Amino acid sequence: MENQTIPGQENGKAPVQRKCGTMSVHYRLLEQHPLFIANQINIEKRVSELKKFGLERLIPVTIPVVVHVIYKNPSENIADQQIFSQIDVLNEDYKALNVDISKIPTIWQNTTASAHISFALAQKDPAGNPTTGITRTQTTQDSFGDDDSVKFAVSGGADAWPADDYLNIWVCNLGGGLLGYAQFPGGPASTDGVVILNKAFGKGGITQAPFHLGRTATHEVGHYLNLLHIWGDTHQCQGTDFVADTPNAQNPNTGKPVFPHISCSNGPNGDMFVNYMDYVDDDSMVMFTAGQVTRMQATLSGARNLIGI
Amino acid sequence: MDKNKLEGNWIHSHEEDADGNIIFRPEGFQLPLTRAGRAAINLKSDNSYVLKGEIGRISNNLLADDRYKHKDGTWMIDDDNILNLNANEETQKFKIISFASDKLVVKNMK
Ligand SMILES: [Zn+2]
Repeated sequence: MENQTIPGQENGKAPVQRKCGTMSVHYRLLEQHPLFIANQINIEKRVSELKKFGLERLIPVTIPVVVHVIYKNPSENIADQQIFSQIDVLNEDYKALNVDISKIPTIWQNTTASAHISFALAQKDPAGNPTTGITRTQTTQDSFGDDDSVKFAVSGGADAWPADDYLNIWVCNLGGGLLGYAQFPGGPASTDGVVILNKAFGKGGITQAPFHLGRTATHEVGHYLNLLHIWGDTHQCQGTDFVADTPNAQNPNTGKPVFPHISCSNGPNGDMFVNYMDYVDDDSMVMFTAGQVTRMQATLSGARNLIGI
Repeated sequence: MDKNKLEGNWIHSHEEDADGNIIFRPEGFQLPLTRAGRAAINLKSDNSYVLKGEIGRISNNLLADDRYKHKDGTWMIDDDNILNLNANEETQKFKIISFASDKLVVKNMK
């Protein structure tokens, strides 16, 4: 959501107008992620350039992925098939090829867009040797928290591969009830990437409904490409995700919402709960908007301009 | 009540909340997965606590990158069976409605 905007009217407008109410988000992000502000300034510049020159300048990108499977019990050592299914889901969702895109309410069907981003398991490791793009590490840890310990061999996890060249995805028994968490662009390379609960990664295998369709990774990779939650991470309708064509929304939606869900005077269509950057069940999130795609492409031509080259 | 019994990590079972009662289950209790996370309060024996997420508002547990919000401070139970959480000169008060080893029920007194 962006304040005072109407879906579809972002083209040609000056980049995002920040309002006082959004500052609390900034401060919180700054606290948790010190490079966020500088990174944001850079990305907003890119976004405005892209809007000026148009998305046709963009070249489709294929992002090499390394999946680090961290397991204690053999059942957590998920099968290759579960991993392949996750890569498939990312490829569908980031090219708007997902079959369930038909669930988008009519009013937003023209707002959705392909991000033109592909994902492929890495074929060469950092030393240049052939690889499956999958590492498997047995650990003594029952579970991991959101403290990045899974990202280091010394704390029972696996070290990151160079962040300029690979999207690192750690798959583990993430504790505390989390499905996943991410790192925004511009942070330390040693912790760059996303962490996903093994029961919410890909399809089949040990996945558990309603998070069994691979959408947790779609959501977390959205953060990796600098997307924010569509409710703007505040609860007073003042937050923004710096994207004009996602309607302003007050809170996350959860479960399987029924259209329309109105908040923040965003009627008659209400919250865009079908968006990947809300908190709904896997079978209820089915789209990115054109504005979100611009923001991701800005990241790929800015803060993450080396990935996939 | 016996303070020692309350020590431990209590997870918000928000699906069970009703009539203003906030329901917690102990660490290890099987709770459904949820994308918005679960608040958890770890009441430690040295009277310190760590709160992950926010008690009472399930949509406000996580940060922008989906990690938990963290808050720490000190805790005590007063003579009226009220759980006091002190952090940064602010006190949150929760009336303890009932307690068993597998279930803690409190009410926000704010
Ligand atoms: Zn998120």
